[in-house]
Amino acid sequence: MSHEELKAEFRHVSEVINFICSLYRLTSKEDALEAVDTLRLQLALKEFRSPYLERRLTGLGDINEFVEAIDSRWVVSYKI
Amino acid sequence: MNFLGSDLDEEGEDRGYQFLQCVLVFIARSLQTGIDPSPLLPLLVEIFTLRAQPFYTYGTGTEYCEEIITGNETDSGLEAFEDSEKVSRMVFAEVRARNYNGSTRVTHVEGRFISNINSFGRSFGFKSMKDAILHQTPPFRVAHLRNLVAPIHEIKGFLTTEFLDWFSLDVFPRISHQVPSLYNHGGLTCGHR
Repeated sequence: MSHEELKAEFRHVSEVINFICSLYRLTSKEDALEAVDTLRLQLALKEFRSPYLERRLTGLGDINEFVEAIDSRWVVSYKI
Repeated sequence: MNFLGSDLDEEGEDRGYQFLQCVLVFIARSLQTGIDPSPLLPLLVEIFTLRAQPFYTYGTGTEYCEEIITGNETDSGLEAFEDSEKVSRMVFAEVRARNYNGSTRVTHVEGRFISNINSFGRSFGFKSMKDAILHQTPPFRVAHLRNLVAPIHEIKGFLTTEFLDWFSLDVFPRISHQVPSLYNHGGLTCGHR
């Protein structure tokens, strides 16, 4: 598989995950948000362990976003 | 003269609506036959991309709204989405509060769009797509999987919670389970350098 094909494949995988996560969030399942977060964190870790620098950086960025989101949630709940 | 002009416009819109609905039913029935749906799925995304369709964007009429508002004789229970006797009464898509503007009047554009989605669902289009996702076997074709999920994601703002439950509660765990294989396929893990 060429580098371009790999990039396209990676983009498709990311899109599938994004699509299915946003659909699952809209269900009546009570723990949907937690399940989506868990899956996304697992994927971020997989990316972080990739042999490709570009993907490791993507994974690191995703984990960083999670940490910032949790921080902001904590700050909001602390203020309330 | 103006009246005649708007009359013709409405007639043209009716034909456009009927055409798009026929295309959706054709796609749904083609998916049911089990043929390779790869050429049809991008077309489905195009039809479901509401704002990309000039027909929906510039529509001016007022028909096809009532069935969306009333939704009277509908069945409930997730299994009804797969029941050939009940599916014709199922509501796959509806106007949500955020699209609703607080009034009981649904816009022509949304009404027709939602009718099209329901026609596709009642022709077992969504069931065929769900089956195709659930019955995938390795090696997974990631682009194909993406094309199966993308049309449903495109219209997520209109889908009923019941339909989303029926679709996502089976599909999400399945795809979550497949993810390691998908990522291996995408060369993400060690050993694929």
